[in-house]
Amino acid sequence: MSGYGIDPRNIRSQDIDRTTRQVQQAEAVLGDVDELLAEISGAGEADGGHVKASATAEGRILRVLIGQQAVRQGSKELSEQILAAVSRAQDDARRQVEALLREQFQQAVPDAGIDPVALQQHVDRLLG
Amino acid sequence: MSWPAPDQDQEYLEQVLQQTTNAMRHLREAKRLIGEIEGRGEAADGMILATADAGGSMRRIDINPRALRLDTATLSREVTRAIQAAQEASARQAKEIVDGVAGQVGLLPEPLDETFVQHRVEAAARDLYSAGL
Repeated sequence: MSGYGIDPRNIRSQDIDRTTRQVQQAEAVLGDVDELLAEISGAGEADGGHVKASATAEGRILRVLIGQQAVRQGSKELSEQILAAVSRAQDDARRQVEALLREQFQQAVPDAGIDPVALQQHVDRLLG
Repeated sequence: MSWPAPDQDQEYLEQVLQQTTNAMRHLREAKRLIGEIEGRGEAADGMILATADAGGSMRRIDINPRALRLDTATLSREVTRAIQAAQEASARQAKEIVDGVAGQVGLLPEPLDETFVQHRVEAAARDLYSAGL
């Protein structure tokens, strides 16, 4: 990998030391990711703010809060508002996850120039 | 692992290609089935019904107008329960599909690695050496 400044024809002991340190640094940073992901909570609300929802990093809905105002609009309108609040909470959680992954990846392997989110999207497309 | 003999390379390659094609077919089929998943959840004695897709997004929520008589704290809790049940149901269905396809894809042969290359180089060197004798 030319990006790491190592000449494959002439690998020196300091190259190995430096690479070992980089790997340890990457492991330390990436080891925290699960914990940080578990702390993420996405928030969303329907237009008007009478229905609110929160979601985990995986998109699991933690809580829906329905205000009296939303109930007065009838069950069909209430359903629409719940769907909007839930979807916005999941979008918010997803944005936080992507920002976290980009940040952690940048810290773990600063010179790699790899966008983990774009990489994931690329893998998804391969199966499309 | 066993390596193909040099005169079986063509056959081996075709076999790997066939297995890979099959694996990709299984994966595509699994992806299609996962796309069709509808996990359902209900709460408040069936007055609230929620439907989720495999990614956990809600496809629809149906609320019986009678459920609107519940106080908002109870209504909020029951709606949350219906949504969570729908998400759990869709995740269970997705896992069944993934587990099923994992058995098929797991049958792929181990990739040939540097030990195979070394094995071939040594064999070629032996041939050259014995030809020279």
